[in-house]
Amino acid sequence: MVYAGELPLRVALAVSILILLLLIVYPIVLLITLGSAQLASALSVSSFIEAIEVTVIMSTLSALVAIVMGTPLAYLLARYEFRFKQILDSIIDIPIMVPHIIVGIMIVLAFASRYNIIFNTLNLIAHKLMLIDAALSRYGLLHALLSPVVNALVNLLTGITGIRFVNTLWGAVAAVAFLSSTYYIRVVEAAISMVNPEMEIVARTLGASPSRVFISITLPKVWKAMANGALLSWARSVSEAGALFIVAYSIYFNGNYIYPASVYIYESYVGVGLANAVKYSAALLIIVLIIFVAYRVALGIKRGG
Amino acid sequence: MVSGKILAVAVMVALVVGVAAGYGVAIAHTHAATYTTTVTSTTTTTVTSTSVSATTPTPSTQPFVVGAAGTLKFAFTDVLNVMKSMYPSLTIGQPYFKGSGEVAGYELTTNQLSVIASADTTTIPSVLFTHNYTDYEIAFGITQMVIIVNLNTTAGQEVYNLWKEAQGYVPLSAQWNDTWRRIFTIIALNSSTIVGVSNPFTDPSGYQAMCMVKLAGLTFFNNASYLFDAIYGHPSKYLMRNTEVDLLTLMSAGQVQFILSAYTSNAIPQTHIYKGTAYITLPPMVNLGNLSYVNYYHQVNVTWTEVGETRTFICNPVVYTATIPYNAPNPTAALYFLLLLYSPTGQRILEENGIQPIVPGIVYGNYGSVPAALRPFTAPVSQYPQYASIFPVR
Repeated sequence: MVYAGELPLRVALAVSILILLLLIVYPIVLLITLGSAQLASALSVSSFIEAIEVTVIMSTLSALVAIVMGTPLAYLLARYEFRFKQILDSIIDIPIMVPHIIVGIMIVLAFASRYNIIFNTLNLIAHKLMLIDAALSRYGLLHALLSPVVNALVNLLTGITGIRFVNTLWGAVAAVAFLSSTYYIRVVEAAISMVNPEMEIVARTLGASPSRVFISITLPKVWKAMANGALLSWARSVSEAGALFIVAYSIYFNGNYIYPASVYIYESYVGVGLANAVKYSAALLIIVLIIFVAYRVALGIKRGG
Repeated sequence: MVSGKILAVAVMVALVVGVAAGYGVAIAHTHAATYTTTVTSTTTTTVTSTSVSATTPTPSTQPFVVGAAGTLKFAFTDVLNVMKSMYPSLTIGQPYFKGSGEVAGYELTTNQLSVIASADTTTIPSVLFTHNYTDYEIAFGITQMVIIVNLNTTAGQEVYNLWKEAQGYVPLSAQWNDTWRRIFTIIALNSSTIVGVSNPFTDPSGYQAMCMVKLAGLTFFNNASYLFDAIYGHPSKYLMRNTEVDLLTLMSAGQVQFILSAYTSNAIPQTHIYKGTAYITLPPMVNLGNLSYVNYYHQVNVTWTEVGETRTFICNPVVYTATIPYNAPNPTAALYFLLLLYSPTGQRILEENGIQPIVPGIVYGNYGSVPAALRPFTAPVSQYPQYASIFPVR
């Protein structure tokens, strides 16, 4: 027996399932069905394997960046009320809103153009240090003492400004970390806010330091969410194409230029055709799904962390 | 049971809504169609010549979209602007200027294009003939390979000055040969210079640049692979993009000193836009732009592997070809476009953009499929056997 009030709800549910099947399930199933027959052929192409390798390395590094940058921020956002919290909150959401091509342009502008203020400043400091070093050469002993330090500093600075961002792993990681860290922060923030702050307070009153409290009280309750967030942000990096088109169309790695997987598939689509792209797309999707499932099984993450 | 019934009802509702929406669109469509038919026919009789009004295919309201090799962007944009002023009622969609291979691939998956133009004679037959999208192509113009140089770099300036020097020498003289050897030494053999090239799979100028480099090796160093290996054998020596037009961005960002995938057709307008760049013309035995050197060009060919696929390309002159696919959304507008290309205005636009018009246009494939209105401006390749070798072997 259906109550009159229940009908709209059920219709809505049926429509929603219909759209889900049509829009998401059907294309995925079709791609994997058509592509799985050619999985072996895709995996026998060494340039594709290289593309996957470089993509996995890039995404893993990006996930590490997310953990280092995101964990303290997530804790801060979950636990404290402070001035400008709204602003910090909005900054963290920006990467979701900015078109990815623009992210690529921003990374190039910030780290690989003549507008790169940071590198320009470091170069200027290095230059000044060299001048100082030259001026000191008149004072024998002082020069002998200071010169190694100054030289080491100069080398460090020029080493930093020598880092190339276009078509390198650095640039690729910078671009995808920009885009994917938000997912990590939001997942971990939600998990931390579920942990009862009373427990932390009690531990603090018993004399534990804040870092001890975090490690022995909070961390055991949120590490799965952290792992889950890292995985999400990792997957987000694997799927990135737009920003990589600008920053790292191909990545210089091991003496070779290698396309990231998404660019590789794009190249296969425009250069060879749909059938070829289906082969590689299905292979990438299957590999990512396997990694996803294996990772979750290994960590025993259930739905919702 | 109940939920099954509900599901069925939902599907019915969705179907009804869908059909209703579709019907609404269809009505709107018919209205638009009748409206534009009258407008187009008036325009046709008042503005254009007899050749157009002689054929009266049903005009269509489908947007007219041109897909063409990236280097045709400049010439075709000018032609489209003239077309816009001649046929104000025509909906001209955003043209699709990409690598020829990319354009042909785009047509295979979308069927959106009414005119397709390629920067070689092989893309249309190999992609569109084989998938039964068309069965002819008209060779309407020829351009030549050039090298774009970045004048803001020492190497770029050196090459540019050597090139100016070479213009003063008698071709094939010892001095001339020596100057060209020095030019190609800086470009290909100097490990501190990086060249921009396009991807041979998406853009003919990708493999044409390879042909050019091989011909330069053959001509000036007696070894076709000497310069080729020096560039393409070293991944850090070149940067590859899908269209040559993208390479100018790399140059202005200071990442390449030379662009090898370039024609006069894009170098003339682009070096004009990008300050600090210039182009150097190349000798006819190297530039793929002279129909009387076809046999010389055929001495070399190139093989390239990309995304796990290996292809071999024949080194032909840089000939632009065009076709109207069978299922062109707007065949009438496509015909107008090609007629305009053969009008004095169209021919002038081509020349201004570094493309030497081929008149009559040489048709490869089935001449019977060429629209009747275009016949006065075209001829089958069988009538011009001297051009047969620039087309694929059947």
